[in-house]
Amino acid sequence: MLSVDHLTKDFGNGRGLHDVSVQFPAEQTTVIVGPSGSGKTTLLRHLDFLETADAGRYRFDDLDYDLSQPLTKQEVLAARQKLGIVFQSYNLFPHLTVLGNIIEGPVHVRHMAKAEAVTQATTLLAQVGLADKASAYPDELSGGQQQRIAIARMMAMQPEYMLFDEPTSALDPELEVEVLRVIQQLATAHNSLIIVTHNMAFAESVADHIVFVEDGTIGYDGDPHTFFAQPTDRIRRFLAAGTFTA
Amino acid sequence: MSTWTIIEKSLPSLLVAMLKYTIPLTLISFALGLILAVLVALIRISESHNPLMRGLKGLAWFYVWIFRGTPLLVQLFIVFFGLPALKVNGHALIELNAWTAGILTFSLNTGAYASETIRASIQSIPQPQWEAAYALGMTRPKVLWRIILPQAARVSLPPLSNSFISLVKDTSLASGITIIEMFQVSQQFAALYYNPLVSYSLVAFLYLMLSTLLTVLQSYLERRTSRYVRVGQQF
Repeated sequence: MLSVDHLTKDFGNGRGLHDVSVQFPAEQTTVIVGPSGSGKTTLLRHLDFLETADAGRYRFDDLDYDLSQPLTKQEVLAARQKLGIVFQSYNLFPHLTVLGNIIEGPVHVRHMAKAEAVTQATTLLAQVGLADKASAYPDELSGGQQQRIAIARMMAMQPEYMLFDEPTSALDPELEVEVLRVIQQLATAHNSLIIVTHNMAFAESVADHIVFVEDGTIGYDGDPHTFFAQPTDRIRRFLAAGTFTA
Repeated sequence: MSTWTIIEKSLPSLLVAMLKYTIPLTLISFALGLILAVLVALIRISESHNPLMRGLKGLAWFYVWIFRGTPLLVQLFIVFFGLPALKVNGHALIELNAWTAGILTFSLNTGAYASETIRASIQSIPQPQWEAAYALGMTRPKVLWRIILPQAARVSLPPLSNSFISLVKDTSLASGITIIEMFQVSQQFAALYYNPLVSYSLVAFLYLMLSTLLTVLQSYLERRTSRYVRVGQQF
């Protein structure tokens, strides 16, 4: 189980996170939604220590960190090696081929034998539907393909939790679907997922657990059915804003 | 004496000087300078706050400041003629032969310029590349070595080639500290045959050939290291 308690981060100008406590259950899909600038991406980035919190408590299985103290590199690594993240802008390594991207972590961080890493990468590439792209460079692929490679790269580390930071926000609707399908497969297979998204239809279809973030605080934390079927006024306004009516 | 006779008589000695001094001086100094430059660049971008690293950062800044801010010829003169004047009990503290003084000064000078090139190249790699690598569980040295430096190398290739080509030509300054390199030899021929135009044009041509060779090498390396990027406009 991964959780944060009383997580606080002040970016100045009133933005950040204010006393946020959330539990992310294992083997479930938690979807984080909320208006732009509400802090949902910030919350996700804190889980992987890509941001430094001002205060709070971080618990992940046997790890238990007081975030008001500076963490050691080993403490940060211990958490990061149990997590994988997929970024909005893919962030593939452009100087490595698709295969090179996927085996980079297993070979150079987990010290897996190269042959074994390649075999695993081949399986993952087939799983994301890009078996024929192993020797391509990221620059030669579409956005949707790059994001599926990024998912394969993350899966190659066999993380306990898979984090997705607006994974389809940079994609056309057609390309978005191919990425969402891959994520949906992961969700269906009872992996532990935490997804930040603007796509409400997708959120509703995959979420076991919804977290609504607003102005750096948690506006809702619970089951998706209640969230979508019996929203509070604030949530109703948020959901309505995402629906275009001519 | 005809132009062709002068060329015929001086070319062998000039080529020997090129092979014995100009080329080794350039290659050794550039290799040492490049190693120094990477170290200095890494020190200057370090985010560590420990006192040792802060001291090193100050030192690196001072080094680049001095070697970029003073003429190379003056640096050569200080190292070769100046340092032996430092005496303890009448004995010179540091006494370098011309060859050592030349290599040392050219390496330090190249290192100062190249360190700025490499620092800028490292800093030109977008922050998300660091994040993606950290997220895989890499330590900072591993991120630098596996992800950032290979990309920075591509970016720094054209400006480093500039430094390399400058260095080839700058080795002519070593004639000022008694090294019998190519330009020194051409000066001797100019005095011998009373035809400075021919002698100096000939040596200029030889430098041009060396630079051209390096330019070809640069194009080759640029093509090789840019395999993964789509360069140029695609309309």
